[in-house]
Amino acid sequence: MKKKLFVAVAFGATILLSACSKDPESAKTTTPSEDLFKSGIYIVNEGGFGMSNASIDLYSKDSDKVFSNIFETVNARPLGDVAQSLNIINGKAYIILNGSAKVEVISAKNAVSLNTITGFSSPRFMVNKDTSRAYVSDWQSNSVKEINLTTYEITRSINVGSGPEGMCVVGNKLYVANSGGYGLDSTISIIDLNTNTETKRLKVGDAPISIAADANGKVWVLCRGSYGDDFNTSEDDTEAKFVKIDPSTESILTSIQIGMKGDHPDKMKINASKNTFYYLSSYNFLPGVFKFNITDESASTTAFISGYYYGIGYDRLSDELYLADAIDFKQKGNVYRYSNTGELLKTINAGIIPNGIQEQ
Amino acid sequence: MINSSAYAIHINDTLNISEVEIKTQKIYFVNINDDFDSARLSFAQTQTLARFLQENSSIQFKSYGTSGSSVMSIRGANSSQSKVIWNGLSVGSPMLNMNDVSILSVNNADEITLTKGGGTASYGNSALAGVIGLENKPHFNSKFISLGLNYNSLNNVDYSINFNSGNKWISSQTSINISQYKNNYSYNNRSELGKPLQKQLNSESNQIAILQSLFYQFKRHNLDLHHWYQESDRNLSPAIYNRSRTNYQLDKSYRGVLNYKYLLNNHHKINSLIGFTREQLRYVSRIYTNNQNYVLFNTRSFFDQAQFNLAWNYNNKDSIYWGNQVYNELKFQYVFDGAYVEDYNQYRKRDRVALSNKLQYTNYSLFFLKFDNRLEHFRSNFYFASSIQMNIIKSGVSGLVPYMKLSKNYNLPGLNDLYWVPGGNPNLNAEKSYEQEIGFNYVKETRKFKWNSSFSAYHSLVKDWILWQPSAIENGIWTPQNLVEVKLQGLEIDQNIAYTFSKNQSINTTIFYAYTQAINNKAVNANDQSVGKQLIYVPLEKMGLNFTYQYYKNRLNFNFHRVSHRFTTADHSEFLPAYYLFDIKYQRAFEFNRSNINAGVYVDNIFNTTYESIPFQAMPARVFGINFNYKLNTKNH
Repeated sequence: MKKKLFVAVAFGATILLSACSKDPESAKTTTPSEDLFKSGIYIVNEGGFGMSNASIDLYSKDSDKVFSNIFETVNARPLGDVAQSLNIINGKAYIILNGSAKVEVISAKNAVSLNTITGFSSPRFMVNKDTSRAYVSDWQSNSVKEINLTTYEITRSINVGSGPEGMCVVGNKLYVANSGGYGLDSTISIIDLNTNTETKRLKVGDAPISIAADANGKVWVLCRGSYGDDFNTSEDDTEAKFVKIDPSTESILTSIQIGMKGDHPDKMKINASKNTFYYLSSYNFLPGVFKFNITDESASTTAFISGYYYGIGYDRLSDELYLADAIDFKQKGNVYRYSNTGELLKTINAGIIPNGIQEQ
Repeated sequence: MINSSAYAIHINDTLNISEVEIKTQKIYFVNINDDFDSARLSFAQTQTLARFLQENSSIQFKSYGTSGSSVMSIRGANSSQSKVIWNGLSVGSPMLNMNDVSILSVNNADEITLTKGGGTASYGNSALAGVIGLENKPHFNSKFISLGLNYNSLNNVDYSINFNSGNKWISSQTSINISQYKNNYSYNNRSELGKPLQKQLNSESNQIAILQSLFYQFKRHNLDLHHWYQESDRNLSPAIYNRSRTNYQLDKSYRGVLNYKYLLNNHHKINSLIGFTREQLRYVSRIYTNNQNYVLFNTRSFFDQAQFNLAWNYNNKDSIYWGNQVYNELKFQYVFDGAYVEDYNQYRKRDRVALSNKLQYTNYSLFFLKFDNRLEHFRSNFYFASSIQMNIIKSGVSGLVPYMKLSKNYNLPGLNDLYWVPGGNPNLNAEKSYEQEIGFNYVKETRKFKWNSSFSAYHSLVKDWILWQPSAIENGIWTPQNLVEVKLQGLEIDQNIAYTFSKNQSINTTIFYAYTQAINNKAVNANDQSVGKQLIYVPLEKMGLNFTYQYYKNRLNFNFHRVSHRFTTADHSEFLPAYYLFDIKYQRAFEFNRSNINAGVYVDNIFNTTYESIPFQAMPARVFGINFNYKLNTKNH
């Protein structure tokens, strides 16, 4: 009898042990008031690739609070996979989701979902011509999609070079950086927005990745440079560079080398005055945020702020720089708010893999 | 030769349900002492190895949907730290340094063994956390043909046919297994508002596996030759948040092993093995949008692996049942890995040469002692693995067998870690582990009753754990680095009770429980919140219960297993909730002259549980199925 009891106790103990752990409680989120939305900064958190845990946080400078994952909180569904960028146009926020191949449209004043635009292969960035027309670079399909901002539909697809990334509109022209995708491209596409056709493909430098217009109406292209065939040496790399283009002649005015071979900047933002670029790069393999004034004749070899950052943003209303730290890319990261003199003002707890910000 | 784990382990070779005999595999867990009873195995013939072990062991699997790949985690280690061996030949990809166990079937082997933790030094690279061994065994003096059919409500069908012909000297076995899966099921899409019910897309798959084994024994010679061709053609189900993305994977593999053993005399044996693998893989990722298919990736790759072993065994005893025994094995191993991936830009290869020694001393009334050492040369460096194991032995059928193990092991980086373009890091170090384990096996056996119990507690430190991260100096290019140090520790309990009421009535119950801590010890930077926290995808707890009731030729089987929550972010901000799965099966046996028939029905996931192994990969709900097995014995001495 004792033996049977012992056996029964051993069995029971095993079963009981299995019931020890409970699921953790999910983090509680709250919805900010519309006033906080008005003065808030959107933080774009990519989320892990294939994890569909992209999120948008709202950081209120006034209340010094972060409202996490506002899309899911307000709309009761996950945002999607890999939030690449966010644009605010006419009171609406357009969230470009690369992994989910869609653009989520929400109201910028309360994050309520307004529409979902599909039909992309891998959307990256958006720029608008006006309040009714915008363009999304579609990396995989080597095209730019024209979006009707009233009907939320793709109205046109315009073929460009390979792996289109950053874009800007100057006058009636759309400038598209053709990064090369899995291969190598060295051009930008210039599209006439009257005819919606590519009128010129201008060779600028290897792997054009980001593009912006300065205060003088000149177009600056950040070329990342090629990694070469052998990743383990920088000997076969090509140099990164800034290329300045005159939109009136669609020709190159200046080409300025950035760093040394092996230094490959890939993200940049322009300040409110549109005379200074901040870009993530390295010099002699030492990473940091670098600063480049449009009047400079050479790129800086000293970091404005040292350290490795995954993302960058610029609040043009406050003239403040935001840098994103993704830590190990498997946990929530931080966003650091800096003054334009490089003083750290605030550390903000963000979501998974923060990559940038967008002011209202 | 004696295996340290043989104590207190009962191994089923055949299952007898009254007069009916069903051929089944032997599966047992070394040191864990979980004896897979034949009842479970007879229902598992068409299951993938991943599913069978997920339901019946503490190993945790990450499955990318029903048709996608599955990778395993033993004791919280990652998938590259475990190894699958088929008839002595490593099955895993040297590129990924891991095994996709979703395309391995329980039916691919006659015997499946699992060795966990330390003591795996002699198995070589990647055996840091554990080894699954698949073996094909001879059936001398036996001739039979068997046919199998399995169909379920997902519109999935499995066919199998086995031929066996053997006399006193030769045994030949051929098996063909064909699977045609539609994976036709629906799920509630939690990524969309209102969680609408949607049909699973793009998850059809076809697989064929042909295995041929030839065994020859004559006087002092033993020769076995194995061929295994497998083709797996799969659409990979999309994540539910992007249903327009359709991935496809084609795997073709051939493996061949020639094993020759020569008995020099009663004490000395020479054992040699030559093995070869070629595996081709094609992976296509597409997205369908605006009536156009865009190809995101279209990669082709293949790898070759050649292995040569030459071993000398010494055994001082003719019999192992009394007195003292000394067993010694000295083995030389050469392994060639070669791989071509379009991203590598060239054929990458590596050579590895190793010497290993296994020395065992057994006193059958006192203790068992084993030393296991391996020295491997790779890329101008030497790597050393070592383990020591001691068991206290109590003679007799029943008794308590405590044991302890200490081990040091390593895991070399895979070819992708070294050479992937861009990002491969040729300067990576091997991962290193230091493990301690204690435990016991306890067996109580009477004429009608058998209780088999085991307990183990382990602690392991893995240093130089390889982690892929964007490179700080190459601005976002992902590259592997030896960044992490992980502490793996836990408890494992297995209980099995079998009770025979009468000749025609019995019950068999097995419970397993595993508590696994896989803790990150090292921060990648000052803001890292993952230090001291459980690794992602490793459940803290896993348990299972399997109950079989047999009455005459009827058998009822009930299985459930529970997996606790798994964090999906390193800071524990996100997780997949715990889930339970219940399955029920009924089988009836028939016998006509020399024919045996088994027919069964089953319901998997009987309570329609919604669960995910990987976030946003929908798994099937309730599944109804039938199976049928026919066996014709034409000769059996």
